[in-house]
Amino acid sequence: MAAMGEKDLASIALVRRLYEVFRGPDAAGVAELCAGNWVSDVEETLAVLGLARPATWHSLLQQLGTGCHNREQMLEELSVEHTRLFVNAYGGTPAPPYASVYLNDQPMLGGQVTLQVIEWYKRAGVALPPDYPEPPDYLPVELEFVIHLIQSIPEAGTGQAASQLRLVQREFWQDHFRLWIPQFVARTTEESQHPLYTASAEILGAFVQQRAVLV
Amino acid sequence: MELTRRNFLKYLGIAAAAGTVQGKIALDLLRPVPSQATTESNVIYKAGVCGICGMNCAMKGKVVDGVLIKLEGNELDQQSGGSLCAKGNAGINILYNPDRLKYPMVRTNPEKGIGVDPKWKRISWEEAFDLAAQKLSEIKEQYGGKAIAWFGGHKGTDFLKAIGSPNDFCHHSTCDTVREVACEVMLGTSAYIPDFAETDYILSFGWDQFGKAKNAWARLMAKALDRGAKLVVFDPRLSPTASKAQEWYPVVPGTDHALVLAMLNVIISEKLYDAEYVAKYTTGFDKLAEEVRKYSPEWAAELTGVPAADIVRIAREFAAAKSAVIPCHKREAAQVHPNGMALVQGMIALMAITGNFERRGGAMFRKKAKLNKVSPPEEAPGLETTIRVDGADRLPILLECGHAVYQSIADAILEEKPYPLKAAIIYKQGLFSMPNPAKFVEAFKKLFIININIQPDEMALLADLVLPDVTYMESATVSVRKYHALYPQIAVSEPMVKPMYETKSRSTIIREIAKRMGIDQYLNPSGSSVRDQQLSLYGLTQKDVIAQGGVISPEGTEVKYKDLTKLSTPSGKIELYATRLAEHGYNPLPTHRDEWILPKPKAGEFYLVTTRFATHRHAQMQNYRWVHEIYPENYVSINKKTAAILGIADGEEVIVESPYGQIKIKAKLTEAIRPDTVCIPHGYGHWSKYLSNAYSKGANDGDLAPARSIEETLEMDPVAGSNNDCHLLVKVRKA
Repeated sequence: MAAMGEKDLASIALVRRLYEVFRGPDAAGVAELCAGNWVSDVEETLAVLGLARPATWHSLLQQLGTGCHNREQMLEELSVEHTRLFVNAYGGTPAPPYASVYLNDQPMLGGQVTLQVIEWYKRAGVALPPDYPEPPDYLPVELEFVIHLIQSIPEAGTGQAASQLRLVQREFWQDHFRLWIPQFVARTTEESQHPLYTASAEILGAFVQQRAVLV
Repeated sequence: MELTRRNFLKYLGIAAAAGTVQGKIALDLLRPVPSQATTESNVIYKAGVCGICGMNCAMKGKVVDGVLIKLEGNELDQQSGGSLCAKGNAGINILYNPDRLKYPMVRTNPEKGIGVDPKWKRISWEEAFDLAAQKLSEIKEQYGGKAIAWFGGHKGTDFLKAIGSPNDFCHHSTCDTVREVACEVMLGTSAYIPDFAETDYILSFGWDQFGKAKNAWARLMAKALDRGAKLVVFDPRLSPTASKAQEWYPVVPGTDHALVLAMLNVIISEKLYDAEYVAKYTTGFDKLAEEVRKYSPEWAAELTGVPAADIVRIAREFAAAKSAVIPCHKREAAQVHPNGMALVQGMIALMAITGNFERRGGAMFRKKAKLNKVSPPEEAPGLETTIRVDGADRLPILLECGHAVYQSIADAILEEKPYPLKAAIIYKQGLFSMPNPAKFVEAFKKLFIININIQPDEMALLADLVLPDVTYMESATVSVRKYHALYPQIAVSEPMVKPMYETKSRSTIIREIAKRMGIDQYLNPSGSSVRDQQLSLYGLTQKDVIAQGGVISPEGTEVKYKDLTKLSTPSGKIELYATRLAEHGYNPLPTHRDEWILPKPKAGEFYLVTTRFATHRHAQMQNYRWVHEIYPENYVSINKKTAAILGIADGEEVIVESPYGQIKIKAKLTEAIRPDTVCIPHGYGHWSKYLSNAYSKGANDGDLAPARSIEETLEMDPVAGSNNDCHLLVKVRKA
């Protein structure tokens, strides 16, 4: 069984930290932010991956510096902004976190795009629990799928199973993930009024750009 | 750098050794399953019931790997006949619309109003239920249960009973109460079925089935015309239905009633009626004959603009036809003018004296299937008062039909008469279902509003708490065929896909709130076991019905006739002289009231008629992608000659102004409308910026309509309480 290298581990850690942001804020997440763990993990993984800190990094640190004095208020601000950016917003939700909205012929969920995502999950040996309420092409789910592929390919070794996983990874990234994430990132960075979401989107964009040529 | 010093490994919970790491990080969401090399899809069909309109066609959903791909009609259903209309097909658009409400949300901006962003914040269901129960309990404690109202479809009647409130509001007084009340008092039922499959003669008073496109009726009416049935349409504009008619008369708006009276006069004076049928199945014929003697064709011609000779000829043709029908549903000529109630009474009388009730091709009674009844575990303590905020307690027959005086609610809230309302639960009622919505917005600012909704429409924007509802594609139901039930039939639906996001059904939401208020024992039970209990009357479960194709006909598919001497009227027969009206001191006959005829429009003034596009249901589907592409916005239709006088070009923006409000809208010039009339399709002008397709497209004709007070309503229509939306003249000018 092959093992994961440092860059794979850094990628997994970075994607998980992004997953926490896009899934939506809670008290535990705010505690992690204010304890500095989120920031230090992201800084370290970016360094390992050779990615620059995003332009909004400084303003994020400043915001955390002042905002952490009142964590309840910070959670409130993050909740309102997360709802506005990704759930329902006055003037149209800027960045719905669903791949199908960007890749279907019409900006709707479901359809061929969702079916294709389900097929990749099946071929890669994962599925969502039946009671999970979000659709399969929800960004946090796809981020988990990215992690799954990174860690299961070395585990699969060199046989047919590994080559199937590599094929799934290539298709998922080339035909899907690298196509919609830049659009999602552009919409988020343009509309976001909180540096946590702007910075996270910028980092996601840079990570996807870098990794898309590797898989 | 040494890998072992990496802090992020701690975060991943992985111990590193010798520069690399073995093992896997646990995932939150995705679970391992045996991988499948094949890409075969798992295709299944699920039984469904369409929730777009009240026809509730039975359908099938093609589901691939848990994703709904397509909706199709269920051929076993007498209503859908195996096909869906454009609206039904587009239902999938709301399931998968990214604008949809997904999670409970609370407004963080206390200011409310048109164009104000509520600045929503997502909250958990626990927080939402607690907040709702706490606010409602506080209000009940301080002002009584009566200070809480429910808006929408009588789906909260049990909840209101549990808190003692009589304020159960629905929209029908802006819709079809005149038809329902007239049918109730004359026929003992709320509606009849136009039996197009076998009809020879269709008379329409503004009834635009091809424009409205109710699945079964549009389909069957088209077949009737193919067969050679005659269609005569009275409508101020060349509606889609009028365009398919053999004869179209652009009648003066609001005068249709005079035509019906004159036709009754002709048929009775020329003894063209079915005397045997009248004697056997009706009461009050002599009083009707006496009443209509004064309504000559010449008198009607003067009022309506339809030549007297044509009125006489059409009356004779109608009486001579082997079968004939006058369809009536909602918001046609009948509901929007003050003579509307009498118009429907006249229509029923015309069909009755020519022997067309319970005759194939005429007007059939609905044969609704029965279900086992369900009732709450405990009986609710009773209402605090029978006096209602909308004043419907002053319209006893309307109230017996289960309806409200919708339009009067805004004034009642604003003036706090007869008592203050403090909170409302609003379910499936859009702001655009309300006449003069600006007045309703002012009223709603005074209330704590819980909105159970699917779309982020204007009502959601006004709410304090928004609770996301499931669609009919994500829930189960047992649906008795109603609109077009020629024989008893029941459709059963199952969830085609699991509820998306964190949406919940209305019954679950209300139960959770009621539980926290300690009143859930008074609610009707709900859920799968209750649906099975309803069906147990036939020894069947939902599963059994689905196994039989989703639709069952418990008494077979043969059309059986109702005994017209055993109706639910006081006499058991069709009452041409409605004794129930007489008992309440109302006029039991379809008397014409000249004072309710609008004055002739002066230059620049117009009659107003409204319609809707065949692909849209009211104001509910403008944000549905597919139908939005067909009709992205509405317009005001103006006759070309009149427009030339006013200097208005096709596509130019104009101001339409009524005594109650004004709108800016594009003009569409046409020859297919009376020169003194303008027409606006309903449902547009959405100002919720959360609706990405519908926002700011077109204008809302409702802004021109009055929201009449209870006193005004009682003066115009003391029986059915209709709002008479189009009883006004508008002015049109260049914007």
